[in-house]
Amino acid sequence: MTVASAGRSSDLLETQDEAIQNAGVVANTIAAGLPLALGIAGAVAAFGLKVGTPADPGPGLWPLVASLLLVSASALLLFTKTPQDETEALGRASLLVLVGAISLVIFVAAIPLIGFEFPCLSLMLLWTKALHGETWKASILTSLGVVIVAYALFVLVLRIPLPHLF
Amino acid sequence: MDFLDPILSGFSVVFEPMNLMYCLIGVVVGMVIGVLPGLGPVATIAILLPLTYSIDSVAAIIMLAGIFYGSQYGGTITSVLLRLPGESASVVTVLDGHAMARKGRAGTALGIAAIGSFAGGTVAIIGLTFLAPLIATVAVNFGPPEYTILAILGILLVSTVGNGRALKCIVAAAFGLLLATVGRDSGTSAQRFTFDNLNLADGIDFVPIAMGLFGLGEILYNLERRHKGNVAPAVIGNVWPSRRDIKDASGSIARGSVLGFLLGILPGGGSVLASMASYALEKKRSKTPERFGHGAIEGVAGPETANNAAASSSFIPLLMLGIPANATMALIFGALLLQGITPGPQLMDQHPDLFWGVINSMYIGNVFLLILSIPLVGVFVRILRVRESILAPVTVIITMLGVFTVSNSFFDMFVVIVFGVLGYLMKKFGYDPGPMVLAFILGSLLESSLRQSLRLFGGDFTMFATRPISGSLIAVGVILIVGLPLIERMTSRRLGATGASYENTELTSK
Repeated sequence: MTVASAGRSSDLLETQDEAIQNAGVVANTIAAGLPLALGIAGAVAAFGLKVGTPADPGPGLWPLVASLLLVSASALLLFTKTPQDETEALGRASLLVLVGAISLVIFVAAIPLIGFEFPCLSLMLLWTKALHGETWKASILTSLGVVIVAYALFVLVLRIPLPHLF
Repeated sequence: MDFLDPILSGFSVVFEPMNLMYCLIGVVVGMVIGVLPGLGPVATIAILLPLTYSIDSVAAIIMLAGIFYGSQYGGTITSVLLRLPGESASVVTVLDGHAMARKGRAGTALGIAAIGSFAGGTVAIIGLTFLAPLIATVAVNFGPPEYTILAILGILLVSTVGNGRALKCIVAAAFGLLLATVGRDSGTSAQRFTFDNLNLADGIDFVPIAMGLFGLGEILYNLERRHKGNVAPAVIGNVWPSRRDIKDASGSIARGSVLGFLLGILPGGGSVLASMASYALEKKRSKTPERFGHGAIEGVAGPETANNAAASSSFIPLLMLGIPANATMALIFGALLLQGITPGPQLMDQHPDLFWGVINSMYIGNVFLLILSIPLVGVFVRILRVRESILAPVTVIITMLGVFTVSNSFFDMFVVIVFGVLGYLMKKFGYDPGPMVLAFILGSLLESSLRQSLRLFGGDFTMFATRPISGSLIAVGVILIVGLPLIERMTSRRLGATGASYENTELTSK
């Protein structure tokens, strides 16, 4: 057990969950390649802003430095071998995360249109019932409870300009 | 004796009812989240950042500090009772703590951990109290070159001795630096990377980034791994360690305090390294090392003391030098910036009530921890029964609506989602979000110090080394960057062996 894996204390929980596999070579390459691409993009954009000289720095100098650091570190990553258990593969369970993320986007987009109550209720129901597999009773009770508390807290007590229907 | 004056006035700050209350809230919240797997102190502090806008700055930092060292103790409870470390710094406690629990000595383990935590925290705070004025006299001579070096050192140290591979941490940090450049350039008022979006004109806000990366990111990551049910906790027999136990553990507590204090000050050090180093030290100097892994009380007392000492002393680089030592400190740094307070050598003079108030609150907080720990254990065990399936969605709503309260901005909510997904992906692919946030926060300060320094030096980089203070900082930094990973490797090798023997005993004792 190294300090590195101890940092992910969930490693000790691994034995209780469905096994999540380690990422393959392709995924690891993308994992290193993306920051590399971002760094190159940043460096190119930095040249668009004036770079200047060390004695007279322009707005592009520091972004260039940061981008070059990103590029060199990612390039090094790309060409070194990744230890086996360092990365995880995206599996079927990752779909849950995708659904969760999309639900949040819809949630935020809906609030200005129909107030926060119904999006909040739907989000809670989706997450407790569908994503976490709770019982109907617990899901509905919790969801209603959260909406009521949120209403009381944000609208009545704190009076935050959160769009609300009721 | 008038160097004691500010210290004593700090206590008057702490004993104000509002600050006492927030200290208590922080410690209790910290213990609770330390107990609950899935949400760490970093995520919680990130999620509670919007709260700091509406309460007094001193009270806010006192609360956040309480959450931090409170969570160290909470993690211990699950380590001992459930063999599940609630916090990464409690991983080591699982080895002997749970073994003690299985022998019916869970109460002893928890009790000695509480006592050790209190002792460690107290020693660290005393050290801090006397060390602070010393550092202040040196730091008063710091100029832009020194701050540049310190910021670079901070980022490098957290990258080399943090979670995850050093190279990946540097990638994360570089990306954080790049993110910090979005917005208006302070020197020339040019717009950088804003893509003509008004929301980005002033740069990306730190709070949504933190809440997304640590709060939402953690929840999304846990969504993928559904923890199957709750393990039945070990029964708590006795409640308090006997006098004999305390005597046996006293040596390890003393050693753990000093070790934790020293390791906590070093950027990148922190509680995890401290707890592991303490365990390794105790095992090495014990005359009966074979007891370790089977319920040696030193194996609980030492690490628990060390991790609390380190948690308290890691405030030193932040408050004194303005360099956050780890991700939690980076968030508190951000929280201070939000209040318009820039941590650094001038903090002691400009905001003595904040400085001494926070430090002295740690004494009180540790007393709260000690008093609350035993009676609340039963409550915590019951809290553990709250299913993550309920807790996670509630936390999501708190996060999303909470970030809205900061600037009434829907853009912020989208930022949270984007960084939540980013945080999830980073964790999947072995990138630690900590260095990224640290670099983001330090980025603009680093850039302005660098530009000022270059202007001072006329573009000559070598002057960083020839200037006496910055030169010595560079030397110290090099020693640390080389030395700390070596210490880490040595301690984990020893621990690797211990872990293996624990596993073997597990099997053979059946």
